[in-house]
Amino acid sequence: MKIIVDGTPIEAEAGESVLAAMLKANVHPTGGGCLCCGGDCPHCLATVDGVSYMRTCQVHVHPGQVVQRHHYGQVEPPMPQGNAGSLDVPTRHVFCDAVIIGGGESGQAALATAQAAGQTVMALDANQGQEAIGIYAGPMVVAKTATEMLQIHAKQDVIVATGAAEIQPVAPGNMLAGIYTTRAAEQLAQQGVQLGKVAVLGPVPKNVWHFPITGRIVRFEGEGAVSAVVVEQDGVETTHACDGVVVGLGFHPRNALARQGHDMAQVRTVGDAALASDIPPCPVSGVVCPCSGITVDDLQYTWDSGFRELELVKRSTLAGTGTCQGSCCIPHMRSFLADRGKELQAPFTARPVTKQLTVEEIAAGAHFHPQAETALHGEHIALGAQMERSGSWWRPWNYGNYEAEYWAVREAVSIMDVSTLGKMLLSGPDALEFLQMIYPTNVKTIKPGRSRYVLMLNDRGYVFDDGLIANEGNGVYALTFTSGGSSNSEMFLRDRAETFGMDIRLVNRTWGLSAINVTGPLAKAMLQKMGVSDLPNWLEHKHIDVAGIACHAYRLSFTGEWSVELHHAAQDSVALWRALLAAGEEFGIRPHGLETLRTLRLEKGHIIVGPDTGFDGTARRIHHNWAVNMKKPYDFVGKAAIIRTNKTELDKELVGMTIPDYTPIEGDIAFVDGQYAGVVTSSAWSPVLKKAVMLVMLQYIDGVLPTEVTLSGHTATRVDLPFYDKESARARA
Amino acid sequence: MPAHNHIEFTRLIATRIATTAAAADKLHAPAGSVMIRTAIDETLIFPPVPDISVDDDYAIIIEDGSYASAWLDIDFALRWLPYNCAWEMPTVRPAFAQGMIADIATKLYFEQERVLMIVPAPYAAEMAAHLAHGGHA
Amino acid sequence: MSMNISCPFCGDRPLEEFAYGEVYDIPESITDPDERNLDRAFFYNNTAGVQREAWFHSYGCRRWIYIQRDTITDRIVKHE
Repeated sequence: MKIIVDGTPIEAEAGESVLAAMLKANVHPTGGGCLCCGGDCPHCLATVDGVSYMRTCQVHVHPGQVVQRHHYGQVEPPMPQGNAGSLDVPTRHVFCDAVIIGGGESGQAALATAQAAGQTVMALDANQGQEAIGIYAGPMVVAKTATEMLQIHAKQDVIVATGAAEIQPVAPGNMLAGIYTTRAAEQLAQQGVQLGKVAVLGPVPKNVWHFPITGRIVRFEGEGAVSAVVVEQDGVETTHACDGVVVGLGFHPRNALARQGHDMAQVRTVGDAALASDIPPCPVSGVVCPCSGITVDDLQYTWDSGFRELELVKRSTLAGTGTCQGSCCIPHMRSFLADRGKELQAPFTARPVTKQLTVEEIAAGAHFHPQAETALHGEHIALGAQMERSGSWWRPWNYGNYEAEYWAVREAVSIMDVSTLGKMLLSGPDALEFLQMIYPTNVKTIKPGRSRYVLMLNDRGYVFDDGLIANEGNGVYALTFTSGGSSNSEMFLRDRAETFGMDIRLVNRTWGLSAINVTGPLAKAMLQKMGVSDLPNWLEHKHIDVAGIACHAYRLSFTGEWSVELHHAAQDSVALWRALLAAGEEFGIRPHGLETLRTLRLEKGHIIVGPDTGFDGTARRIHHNWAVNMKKPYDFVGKAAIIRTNKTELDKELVGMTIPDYTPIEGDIAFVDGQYAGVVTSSAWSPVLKKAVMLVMLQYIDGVLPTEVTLSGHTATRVDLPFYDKESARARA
Repeated sequence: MPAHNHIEFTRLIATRIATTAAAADKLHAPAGSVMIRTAIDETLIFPPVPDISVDDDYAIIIEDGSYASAWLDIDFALRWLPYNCAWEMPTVRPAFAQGMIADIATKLYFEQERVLMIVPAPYAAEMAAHLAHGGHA
Repeated sequence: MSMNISCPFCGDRPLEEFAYGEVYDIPESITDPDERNLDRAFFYNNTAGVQREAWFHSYGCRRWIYIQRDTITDRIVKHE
């Protein structure tokens, strides 16, 4: 058969490795370096069938195989890549009693023992294409196979039987071709590679034409490939002409996986992987880390710079961070540091992954973060909505005509899907007591049938959410939260209930309860025409039927116009939405999306917790002191912090500003005389006011709050909030 | 890689009960209904049992459509789950288990021949897509 | 890819199912009128060693569980 190497077809025999085929054609995959044929070194790496960093000693040839060399030392090797366009590598989870890594002698023995003990076993043999690439906490072993990634959860034992690697030579010329470890020489000879007459230092490989040498390797000589090796013994240097050199310098354990699991009781290392490492003589000159090209001189420079620990030498030089993850360099670095520091240091920390993975393999099992759909998702799509990710939800940004949606709210009637709001129900003997501890308002004064806007404060007195408390009577409270904050708020409530020892019942019904906000000056007339006569008054809430659907109706307003929020069972949502749109046709109804809502609420100066409050928005900084009752007889969450922070001078405030003819972007920086003065948290062009309106977190400068700032070269002027309908007559109508 | 194009989730209307652990321990679902304990103090019963008696004056008992569900053939489920779930499935029947599956908070009710997969209704479309794709993208 | 947390209600589940809550090194609430623990709101201990932590089982029962974790080795030393 033929395989293609760098565009040229070469002969290959079935069953041999790509490396053997290349060497027979006189092509060294990386140009040089001591070959190991054990998958331990970076000297046979090439791109094989589009996958970079393949160890060609471990890959069998097949007809039509395409090999591209990385051209070590000349240009950067390509980034790891796989089959373009496909992300279809699955991850399979395996649960078993024991996993055995390694199919050699010690691995097979461990397998037999485990099976005899009746354990369910997962055996991983790299020679069968199952390569363990990491041991994670758990312990969990991650392995790659030809078709999928495995995450193996072993309940009892993880047996590491990965064997030992041969030590590489470090001396000038060690990146020449024609250098082999003992095992590599044997394996290559077995595959028919002609090594020529080689000089053998140490154990003699079988079936190799050779002559033995002794001593310490001083250097390898040659142009591109070794033509001679110089050894030193008893102070005498001898030069041996040869076609190659076989080095048997001892072994060090293949223990990267064992080191990853060193502090997990279930992880045990057996066989050669558990042996102590041979330590070679201290290297004098040459490449120590072939992956990163680090020489003995580099180690000396690092030592002289004051780095004494192996972990730091690794970080300083990047030796050990490459393809072989320290397999080549660790014995020599330990020897070097032992020589300079007189102490043998342990190998550096090993971390997954131990073998190269394709991007597809790394991404295996990853999911796109799922996005939630409200019950009205299909309705929005049918109406041509542009959907946006908002928090964990898909929400309509607009329905194709932002201006028309805006004016429908301000002049006629509009609806918006607000099902994403957090919605919880609370009862229990301590329900009121609990709310008094959680919220900064005096909850006792919220009578049945009434509701109130509330802030949620954390221990630092910073606002982290807002919403509504509605008293349902009989000690039951309906609570609402922001769309993005509901999960966090549920965590907070359940946590504090435990901390305070409160006897409560709490249900998060966000997913089961939809909500539609009906708003605009004609909204009331529309609902009345639908036969709804018992609408709640401002800040009241009632259980009413709308279009035959049971609704919990809240009178409040975020848009600035007359509004009622209709909470209802999610399964009724489509029917209610359609009934409202049908009834509103004669009133000029049009649904609106988030884009419109953001402008509407900004004109009213309503904050959005998060963007407008930041992480340190106290009630004082965001002008919400009215929502915090410091006199109520409860030490509610955040109160102690407010007492402390209120003693300090106010340093910044959220204020309203306007510009007549320019709309700054949100996040724009405000300056006064070239000095930082704050940041724009919300900004929009107001169609009704015909100027840009914005909220700015404005800094006090020399104890004074600026009245004018510069935003991208335009002058913004501070004004009182709200910008629109200052008496809120429209909302309360 | 197992995949299934024909899984359709429908909204699961259930009686949802938040009560004390002690009162939840004493709950009995009528014959023919399924009762799952989703938390120490929360129970789901379907089809709904609106007039169920709970030994707790403060219990919250609501009809709830927070979840959507679909029955999966047990063989398909046991082949599909290892590719989408990092925790071990129960082996007894019937059994209830809950946790992350394909990044979605999922509840499973195992019978001998089938499994009821219960997901938050807003994530039903995502889960159906995972099932149709083989579940790993 | 990582460690499991054992939820007393749901069983062994991967870490990803849980949301990290708080360090519970001071049992009393900082809403204490004497303000004796208010510093805890602004200054965290950043313990090197075993600390008591709360985790929320977001993908399961949606309740808090408590563990003791060694921050040096990142191992859970005790499930409470």
